[in-house]
Amino acid sequence: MKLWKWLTAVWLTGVLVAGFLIPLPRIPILEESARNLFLHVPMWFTMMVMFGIAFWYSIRFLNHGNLQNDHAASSATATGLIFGLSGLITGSVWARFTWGTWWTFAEPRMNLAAMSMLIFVAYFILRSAIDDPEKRARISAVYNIFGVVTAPFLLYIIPRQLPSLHPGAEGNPAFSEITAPELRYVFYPAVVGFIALAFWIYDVVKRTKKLEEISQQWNT
Amino acid sequence: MHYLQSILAIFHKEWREEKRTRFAVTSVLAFTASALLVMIFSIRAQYLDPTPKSGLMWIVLLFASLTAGAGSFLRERDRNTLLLLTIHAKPLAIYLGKLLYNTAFLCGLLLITLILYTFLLDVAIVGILSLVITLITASIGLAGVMTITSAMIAQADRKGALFSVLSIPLLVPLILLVTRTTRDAFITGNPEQVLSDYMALTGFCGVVITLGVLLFDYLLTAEG
Repeated sequence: MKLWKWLTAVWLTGVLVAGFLIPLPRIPILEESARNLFLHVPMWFTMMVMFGIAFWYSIRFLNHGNLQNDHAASSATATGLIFGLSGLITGSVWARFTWGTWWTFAEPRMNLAAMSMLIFVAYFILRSAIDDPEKRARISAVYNIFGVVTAPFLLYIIPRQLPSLHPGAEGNPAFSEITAPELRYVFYPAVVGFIALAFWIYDVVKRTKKLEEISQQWNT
Repeated sequence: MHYLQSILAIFHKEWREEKRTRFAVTSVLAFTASALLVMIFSIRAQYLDPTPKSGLMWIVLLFASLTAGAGSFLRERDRNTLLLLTIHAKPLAIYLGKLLYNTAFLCGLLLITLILYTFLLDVAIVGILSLVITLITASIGLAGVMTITSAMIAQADRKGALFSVLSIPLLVPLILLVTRTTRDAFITGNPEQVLSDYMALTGFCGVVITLGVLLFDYLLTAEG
């Protein structure tokens, strides 16, 4: 195991322990659930990073060919999807304790984030529909680029035009002077830690794909 | 000039093909009419507010255009004429010609459906201008996405519901935006209120068509 993975493991353990143990000032409505900030928000940041990597490797595949780029793109998308789902789940839990319901259709961010996940689910359905690896890589790279470029409409543009309860909407800043400063001491390390964890998962998935490819070549 | 000629030639070819069979037009119109009738009757849509009214209309239109849009490249594939097309025209010209035809087709479809819908539901249209802008941008956006996804599924080995699965998530932003602008056309008719929606719509169409122009080459190369 490489050094950065050890570091990630220790770092993230520290972040989690600190996240659960640091004393927080009393925040109305949020109360202790404010600790979810260390989980919920980094999930989305990490998802963006992973989809960004998938975008980059999709473009690389279209320019240079080479199936390794395709493995990288699909592994990064899969990892991003895992973190997106975790973001939805942590968000849903948070909604239960602050808004009083697991899921609400009055909240555009929640529903549109779920919708944008479907773009990347469709990406994997498209992959499973094509047999030839070269062709699959080419067409799914095009779809991936389409997905990454239209997802911001769902995640950023439209939610800002609809009434919303979610922090970050108008008159409801996500992170500002009213946020307790103690939160930041754990929040930023948590972002770094989860992105590192995502790279770890991505690395494992990518290497598994490579091994699968090699074993398939052996079998034929 | 050469590009323009081949774009127009592709457009013309699509038009003549449609004129010969009238398959797409009749099937899509029949689909829209039956879906509208079922929907309006089963949920008593005439008593609804303008918001669900415009939402329902766009859901029907989304599925109607999906039934029409899939054929664009699938037909070429089934008759093995895609290769023939690529000999005669550059990929970009094929894309733009198909895009132009699909846009025109959808624009007509949306217009007819809208007239039918207002006739059946007795909706008052306050803002003609915002409705026209909505119709045009919606047909450009729908055609932009569906021309690309149709070229994708033409190459897939398993099709099934693939076309809808690929297109719907990409089209959700468009449908949400046009639902809002249509509702505005039903209630206030003041385009300034939803100006940011129009800007987002224009952005969406721009993004989709730019991507199509940039990426269409990759969907046709090594076709065979």
